[in-house]
Amino acid sequence: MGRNLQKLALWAVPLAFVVVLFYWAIVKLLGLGLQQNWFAVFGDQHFHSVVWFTIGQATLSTLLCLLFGVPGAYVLYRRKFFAQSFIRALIAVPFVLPTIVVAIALQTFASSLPTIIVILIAHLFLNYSIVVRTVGGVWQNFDKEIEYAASIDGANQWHTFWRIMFPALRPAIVSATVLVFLYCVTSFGIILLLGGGKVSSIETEIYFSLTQFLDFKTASAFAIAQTVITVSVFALSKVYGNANAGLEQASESDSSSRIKLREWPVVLTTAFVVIAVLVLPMLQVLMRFSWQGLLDLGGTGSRQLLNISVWQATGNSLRNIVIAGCLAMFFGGLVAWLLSRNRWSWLELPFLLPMGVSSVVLGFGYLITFGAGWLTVPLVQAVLATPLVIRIIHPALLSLSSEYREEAIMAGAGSWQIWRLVEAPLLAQPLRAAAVYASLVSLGEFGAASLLSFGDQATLPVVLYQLISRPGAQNYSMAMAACAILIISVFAISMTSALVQRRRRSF
Amino acid sequence: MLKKKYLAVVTAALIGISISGCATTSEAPELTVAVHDSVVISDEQLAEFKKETGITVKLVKAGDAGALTNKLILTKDQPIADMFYGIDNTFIGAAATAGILGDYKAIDFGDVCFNYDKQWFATHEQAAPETIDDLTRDEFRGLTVVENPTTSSTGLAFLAATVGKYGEGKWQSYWESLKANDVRIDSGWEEAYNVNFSGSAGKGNYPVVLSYSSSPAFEDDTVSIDDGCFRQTEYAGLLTGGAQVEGAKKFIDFLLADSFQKTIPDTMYMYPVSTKVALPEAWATKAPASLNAVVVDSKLINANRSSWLKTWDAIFKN
Repeated sequence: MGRNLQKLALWAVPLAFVVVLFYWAIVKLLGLGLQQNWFAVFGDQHFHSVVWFTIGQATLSTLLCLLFGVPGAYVLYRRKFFAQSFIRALIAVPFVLPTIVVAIALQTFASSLPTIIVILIAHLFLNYSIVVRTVGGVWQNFDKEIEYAASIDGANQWHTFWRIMFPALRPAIVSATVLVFLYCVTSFGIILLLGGGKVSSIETEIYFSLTQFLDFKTASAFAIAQTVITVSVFALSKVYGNANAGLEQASESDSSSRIKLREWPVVLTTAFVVIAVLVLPMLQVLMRFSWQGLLDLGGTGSRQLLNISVWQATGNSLRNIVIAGCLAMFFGGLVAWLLSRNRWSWLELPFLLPMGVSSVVLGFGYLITFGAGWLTVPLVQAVLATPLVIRIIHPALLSLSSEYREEAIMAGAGSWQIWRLVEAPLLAQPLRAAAVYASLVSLGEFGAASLLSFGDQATLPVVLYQLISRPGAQNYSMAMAACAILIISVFAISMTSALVQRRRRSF
Repeated sequence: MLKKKYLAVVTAALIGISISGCATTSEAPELTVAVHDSVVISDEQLAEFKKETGITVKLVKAGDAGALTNKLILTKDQPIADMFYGIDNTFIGAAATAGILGDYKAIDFGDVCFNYDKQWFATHEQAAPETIDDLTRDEFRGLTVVENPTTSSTGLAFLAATVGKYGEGKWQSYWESLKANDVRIDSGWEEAYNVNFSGSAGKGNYPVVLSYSSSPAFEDDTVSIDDGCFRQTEYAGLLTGGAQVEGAKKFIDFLLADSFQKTIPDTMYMYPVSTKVALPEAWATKAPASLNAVVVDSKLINANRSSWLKTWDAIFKN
């Protein structure tokens, strides 16, 4: 009895966090919209075409990511070849870049292609690494012996894949599919810039109905449609494949073998995607780097475009990362831990919902509810990052063998001791991954920040957007210099962490 | 261990929040002016204003004119500024309807006009367009890039200009012919001018672009077409929720004084409303204001913007 009460009290902490900082703001905004005969919007033909376009482009983008990502996972994590860690580090970079930069890079790179193709390429550019890393992480830990045994038994490779590997990979594939689909359904910066207004998704329609017309009615209808799609996808993912696999970070492994001759088609496809879709757009940005642009980052742009320098905006972003990251780790970690300790798995849903809700809607909700203080941006980002933290830590906690716990309890260890001595060391890797992803959400978040972070509180993506979308060669070169620095430093960090991991293992 | 560390950081952050919260309330009162991103008022000018009046001005850049207006409307219960500078005639109607607007005055204006690349038409031995009707003619097929009015204030200005020039009910056919003539639609000015316009640093493929009458002052060999131009007027004014009424009035007077008005062309690419100050040399010769700009009533714009954009959208999506 006392135990249950204690647990209930613990649940109250993260629930209060998400109720105050997410549901309150959302309900307040929807409250403005759900007046008069708001449901009339649902009968609108334009409404239908936008919803179907959104679902259609997200489906195509997701299929594309799977089509190229699964073979990519095989090549990059199941096989061993020269410069592999280099390429693994490379493919992680786009995921981190502000979407605004991705959009500009792809605009110059692929402007002659039809709009929808450019959008699909941009989504592939951004989400390729999600599929590769999630699926690759499971794949490389898959026991080689089983595969070997199967081949001795006369099963051909295709057979081995479908009968033995695919069932093992399915949770990871479903999980990656869900994530990519949700990112593409809520994609904002990409469709805003690359769509050129010729196509509109739910998210951009919400943005325009609010920023252009303050039309809360239409925005609310679209926001509800988006949430319905999100929740349905979650529900489906629960039914198919028990998608508890999160965004595990793959670790280096020596068990993989070299590329076989007949695997070259897969290898060439992967090479093509990595070079044409990932590397070339990034090179576009790097080639526009200039030292003058770098020097100008200390100023506020031509004609004082910015309130603060790009370095100060970077400072704001770093501060937000620390606040948002800590809050998300604390609340996300707490929820994951509580989830792993009882059977109320539906309690996960209220915390996962922010992942599928329009961040533009959230930004507007905050503006109405909390005004525009400096703390609003890191708080929004914490709310947006928490679901990711849960989805990384929760499966890791589940995979911890319960035997350790039982033994420890038998030995008289308390909860805290179990955590400190048994669980924490085993969880170090997923915790680190969760912290990294939470920081990435905070760093790249644009939808809410574009509304909430202005004046001397502007964040790095907002400042880059200002520089890129305003006149002046100086602004442009500053934006390119900043983006180039971002690309290079993200790559350097990604590379270093891969090397550090490898060295650890060799001890 | 890890969790303990996070707890400590969170606690530290919360303490930091409360401290900084106290710090801001104890500061001396200052005049907070919400402006759009393109407003430039130099530190020297602000220092001069402080010397004259004793008032410290804090500028808050809040996005483009539309974002500025909507932020002020949405935060009217917790105002983010005492006054504004930079809401233009396409948005002032919305601000008035929302009831956030006190007294306001025009400070500067600009003209949204088509520009063309002189060099391109010279090398292709072709006459350059002179009117916006020319852009629908066969010899200019696929040469024009226009900003999307649903995503760009420049584009919206031109859409309003076509309504003003051709009249309600007739402007649609102009856009249909533009579309039939393979006009390119870009989401923003930057993309249209700096990426796709052949006369800018981007060296794009389109020799005609929707920009400003002032742009040729900054880009050699480009010319503004004085037809179908939209006059955009920017205002400064009081906000109903603003605390510093006297200070705000003084600041508006300051914005209208010659010392500030004469800096407007060089810093903001706009024309001063004051006729007493002279335009810079390059402006006077290469980038004068339009002589017959279309003026569209701001109330009309605010009332019809939604239906215009929906109609425009329907034309371009079919």
